[in-house]
Amino acid sequence: MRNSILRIGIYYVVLVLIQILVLNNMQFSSYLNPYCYVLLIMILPFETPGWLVLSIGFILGLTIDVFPQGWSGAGASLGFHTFATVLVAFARPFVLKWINPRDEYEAGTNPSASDNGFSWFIIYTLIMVGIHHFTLFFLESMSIMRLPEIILRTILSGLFTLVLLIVWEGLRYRRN
Amino acid sequence: MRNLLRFILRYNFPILFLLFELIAIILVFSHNPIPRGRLANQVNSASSIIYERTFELTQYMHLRKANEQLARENSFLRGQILEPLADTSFSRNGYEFFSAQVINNSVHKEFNYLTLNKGANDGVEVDMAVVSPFGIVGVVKTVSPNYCRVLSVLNGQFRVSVMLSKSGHFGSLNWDGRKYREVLVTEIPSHVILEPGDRIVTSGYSSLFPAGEPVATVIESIPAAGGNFLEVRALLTNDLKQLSTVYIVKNNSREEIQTLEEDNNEK
Repeated sequence: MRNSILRIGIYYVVLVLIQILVLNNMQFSSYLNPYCYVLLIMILPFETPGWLVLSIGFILGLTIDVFPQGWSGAGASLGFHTFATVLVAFARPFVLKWINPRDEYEAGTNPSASDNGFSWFIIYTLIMVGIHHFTLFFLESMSIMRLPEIILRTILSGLFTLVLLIVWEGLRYRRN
Repeated sequence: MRNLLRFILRYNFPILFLLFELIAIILVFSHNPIPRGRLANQVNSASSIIYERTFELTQYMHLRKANEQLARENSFLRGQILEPLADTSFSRNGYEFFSAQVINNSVHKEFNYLTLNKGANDGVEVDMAVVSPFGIVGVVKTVSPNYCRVLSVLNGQFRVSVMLSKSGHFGSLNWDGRKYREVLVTEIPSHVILEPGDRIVTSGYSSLFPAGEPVATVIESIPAAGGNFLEVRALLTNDLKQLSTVYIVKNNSREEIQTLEEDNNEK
């Protein structure tokens, strides 16, 4: 239990820092904006209660929103990441149930590649990242007219995020 | 209270979710002037699309109104073009016609009058007839130097001798004060067979109006009290509501005729 909390705390700090210091500053294209911090919501232990998942999602999203620009900077864009992350946190139990490989996840395991296999993890990531990125890009553009563009951005940025997360998990996988 | 608490605990997951999303939405709209504008734009463009479609659907219903408007505009423009041209005079069968503009007109009173922009300076005299290309209008009653007042057909005091153009029978035309397009023709002999649409023209007997000016068309005929005459309801060919240019008619031989008839009466 304490181990889990510590692990989540480290993940939180590392993911936020990577997002804000590295990924947010990557300027390839408007179609390539990876948001890897969703991983924190994804890898929370199975037993984590719903309210805690939501709360962590809220705090995480708010951090990503506020950190780079403060509360009321010029052109501040608050709330987008919060909304998308809380939505992902809400969807998590349903997604987990949906892609359940067996009847029940084994007790004491985490929703990670090392515990459930890589193919399962890729599907899990695709769904979660897809929900998150689509919601985020849609909110940011706030336009139904630009839907094709939003979908394309979701696919390209989502794949980018997926690749980064697989690399991340692969490194952990080998270490274990 | 306990039930409420139990409810919240039971559904803490969706409730908490909605609460967090609500906070996020508030953040989005309180901190981002751009999305607010964008949302307004979205709503605007959506509503303008709806308006456009609605307009496409409903414009057929407005065609009638549009037509009326165009007709009004047309007559206004025609009036502008014809005004300089309309100030003309011509003569026919010993009658002189000179044009005048209607500057005041009434059709809804019991005794209706018109005012024309021609007066004594233009040679207008009392008892001259006023006609339009579509039919008779009235008779000049009073004259000022530049204007004249015309007793309208739609006036209980107006009488004119008319003729059924098909059979040649004479009658007397008078307005009964009901509908502004309908007049009564009396003194038509009861044996005359009339059909709706038969034309009624001026007889020329009054020496005011030239003979053969269109007046009205028959709507229906009913036997008048007494049995010897018919009472004919007729539709004026002239829409007196829509007059703009009219002609004042001067009978060049009227004085001669009048003098002759008076002389004859005296003897």
